[in-house]
Amino acid sequence: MRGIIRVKELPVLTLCVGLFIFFALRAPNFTDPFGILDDIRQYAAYAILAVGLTLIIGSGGIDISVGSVLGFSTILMGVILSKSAASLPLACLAAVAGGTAWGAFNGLAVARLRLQPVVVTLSTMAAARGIAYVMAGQGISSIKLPPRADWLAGVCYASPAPVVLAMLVAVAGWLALSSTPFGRRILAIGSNEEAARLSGIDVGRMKFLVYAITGVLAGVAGVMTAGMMSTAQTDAGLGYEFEAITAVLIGGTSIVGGEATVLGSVLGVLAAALLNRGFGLMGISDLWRMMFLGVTLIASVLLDRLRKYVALRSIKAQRA
Amino acid sequence: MSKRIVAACAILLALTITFGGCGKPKEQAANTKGKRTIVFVFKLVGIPYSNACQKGADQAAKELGVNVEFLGPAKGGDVAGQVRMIENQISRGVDAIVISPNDPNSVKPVIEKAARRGIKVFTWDSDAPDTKRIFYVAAADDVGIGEDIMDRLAKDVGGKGKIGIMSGSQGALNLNQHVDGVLKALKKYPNIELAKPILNNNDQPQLAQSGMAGLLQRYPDLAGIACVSSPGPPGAARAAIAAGKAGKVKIWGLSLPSENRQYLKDGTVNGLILWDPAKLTFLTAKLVNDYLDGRKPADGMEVKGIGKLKVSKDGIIIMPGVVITKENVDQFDF
Amino acid sequence: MTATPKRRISRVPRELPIFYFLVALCAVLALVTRHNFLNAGNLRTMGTDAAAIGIISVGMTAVIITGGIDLSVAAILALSALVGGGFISQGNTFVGCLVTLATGIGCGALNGGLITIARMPPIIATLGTLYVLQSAATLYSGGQVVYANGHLSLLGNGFVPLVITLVVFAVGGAVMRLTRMGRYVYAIGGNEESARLAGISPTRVKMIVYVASGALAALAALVTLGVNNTFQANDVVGYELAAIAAVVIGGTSIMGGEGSILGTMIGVGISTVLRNGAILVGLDARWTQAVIGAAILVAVITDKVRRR
Repeated sequence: MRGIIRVKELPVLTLCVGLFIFFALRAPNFTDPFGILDDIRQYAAYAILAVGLTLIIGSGGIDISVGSVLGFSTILMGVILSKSAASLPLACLAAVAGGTAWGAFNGLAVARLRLQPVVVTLSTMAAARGIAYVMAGQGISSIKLPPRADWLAGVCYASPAPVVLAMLVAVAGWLALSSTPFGRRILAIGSNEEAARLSGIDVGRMKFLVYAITGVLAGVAGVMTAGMMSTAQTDAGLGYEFEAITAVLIGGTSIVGGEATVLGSVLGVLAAALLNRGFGLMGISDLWRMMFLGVTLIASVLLDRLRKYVALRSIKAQRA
Repeated sequence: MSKRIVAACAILLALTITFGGCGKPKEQAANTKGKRTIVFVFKLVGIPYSNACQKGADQAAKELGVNVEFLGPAKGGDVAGQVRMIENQISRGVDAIVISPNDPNSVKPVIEKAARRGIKVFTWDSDAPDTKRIFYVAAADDVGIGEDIMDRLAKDVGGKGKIGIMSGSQGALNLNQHVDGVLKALKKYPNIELAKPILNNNDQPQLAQSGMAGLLQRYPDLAGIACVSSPGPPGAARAAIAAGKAGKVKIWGLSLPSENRQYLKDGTVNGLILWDPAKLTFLTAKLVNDYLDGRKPADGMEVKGIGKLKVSKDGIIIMPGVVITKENVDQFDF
Repeated sequence: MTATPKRRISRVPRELPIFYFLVALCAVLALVTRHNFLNAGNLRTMGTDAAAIGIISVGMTAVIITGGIDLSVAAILALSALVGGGFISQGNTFVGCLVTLATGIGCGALNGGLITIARMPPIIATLGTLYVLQSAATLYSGGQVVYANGHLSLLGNGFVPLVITLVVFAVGGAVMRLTRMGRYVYAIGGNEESARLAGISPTRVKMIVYVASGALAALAALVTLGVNNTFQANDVVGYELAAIAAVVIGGTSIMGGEGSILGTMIGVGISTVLRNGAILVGLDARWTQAVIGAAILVAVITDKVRRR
């Protein structure tokens, strides 16, 4: 049982439970299950992004363009639906394809051109957002989705579907990372890229895949966001990358690569959702929520170090 | 072993939370110490305009004897964040929610949800037409303000010349509507032409100044500029001064008097169109409170300290706005 | 007999390609816009526009060369400006400037401490301080605007911002190239373990670099107060990404160990000229983001190709 301290999701799970208990006592109506579902549904898009980011960060990379790619997909869908007679499924598919294209672009630049991930994704972050603005048209901040998209809006807004989808994506990500050769290779690359390459892993292909997969996920998140808002917003997804990365890091995934947990990332998003709900119900300013998020990020990494230190000490003690 | 325990706990927690929500909504418990609670959800917090609105909300709480709260996302343009906040207020079971939406379409579903739960929803400062909001209080409609700015600018430039437009960012609906208004009114003046490009200052002073400076380079004979984003007029004024064109380029815009005081007085900025956000918020709180008591707003009604209100059939209530020039700028404290 | 491929070691300074790009960009703009681009007024505008981002880019270059990153510089700028601005607005200009610098140095030390003593990865530490300091800035100021009331106009008039920026670049460049500390910065970035074995203290060097970044952010805060005469918490949001972009365009590798202040200066020049040029040629504002993204990519790819 002492081994529990070795579990890397422990801090974030403790955080979630702690937040839940604190707010259940202090925030009115916090435990209303319907309300909690509503709030979690709002964070489903973050969760989907977080799964992709977990894979990327696990492989030693990073992707700060996910928010802009989400926005691009949303606007692409909005433009297709409003300017053509294309059916809803087709528009959704196009949006996901758009996200995939950006992801593939990131992947090629990182894998084939050997450019640094933060630099590549910094440029795609600007470019994807910029092209979204251009596609939307001069002075257009949002495109209202036409009536044939009402089905999507209904599903995204009124049913648990977004949450279910996020959970499916999370389970798929968890399985891929923990039980497939693909996952093992990703983590090997993150641990020691040279050793991974020498042991025969096609590093380029693996890296390309994680960025491309994240692109797909960003496209899906874009469709979901458009559905939830009933509108395609040019600023959709703005800032999502930093909040999603924060959730992933709070969850226990290591920024240097080699150690990743999808479960942790999802719990990190859950913590963010609970925090948002709790502060909102208590009427505390959103600025304090930002402050708390920053402190939590720093504290969680420090605590993770502490945890590793204690775990190492206990192993040494056992061996002595 | 421990890892499995942790994983199992986490999954259990997640499942409980998610599928617990498939039941019927609990009876909304009043959490507000029995007092009526009206919550304003603005576009964001942490800017002078939102602070002024909050003052109005606080004053209303004092005078009306009800709970009046003021919230907003920390980031500008945070559509999703705003919707989340409204969801939270629905969860609390407040009596009324007043929204100034970042995007009118995005709040439609959440307004319907609130209405279904018996919460009254209103809008102020920016509207969400075509939703279940009961009425909308503003000092002018967004497009109308743009037209007003253009008309006054046109007068000051003598009906001819090139004029520029400065907005904040493309993602802000109300700014886009102001610009639409300016462009609409522009058509009335055949001798005035638009000096492209339309500038975006990202609501930041540096870009406002350098944008205007660039425009002045491109059009040395620029007659005037219409700035619809708050840092616009002071930034444009600084650029005009640096280029030695203060007073020659006419500047009209939507901005706070406190940020433009010196420029209004020395004539670099010709005038601002605005309204008192505190008064607007106070008025809205009062009208909402009256509505909850069963008193509906009527066209032409007089409100002490504010003036006569115009009430339209689709629930649009307009309070008189104000034109700020060097003559009256000292009367305002926001 | 095996043939060994010849490798041409480039003697050409690494900054040359982007320098040519900048020159070409300026030439095109000068041709297209005639006298609108290359005149004293426009140069002054660009100089003022480049000041804040330019100054923080110098600190960012050093940070990135050590293999780190500082996402919180813009938040440090904001907090310093607001905390010191209170004093400045009431006329206590000297005290206000000191307070501003102290705030910047303090925040820089916070970053440095998290990174060196607590051994936090820089990207996480500065992401966390970004959240904390930005929200602190807004909460401290209540979102209200702070007015400098003309007390810092000395820093904001005419070509002064540009001159200050150039001086910062010159000093920064000199420190990086000519002093021991500069060599240590490159050494830490190149191979921290070797540097440590050679007797260089990574803790000391990194701490200095982050504190310098914070101090420069404070200096940028003062220049901004001088230029705009006002400051509001949201005024510089996004400046950290602009600084990183300039550093990257300038050829500094995000992995650390190589790069130059000169390159960053050219990078700042390129983004400033693009912003200014876009307005001069009448390009719609909505294209700027896309153009900047493309510029970063082009710069990075050409740098990569050059190094093959």
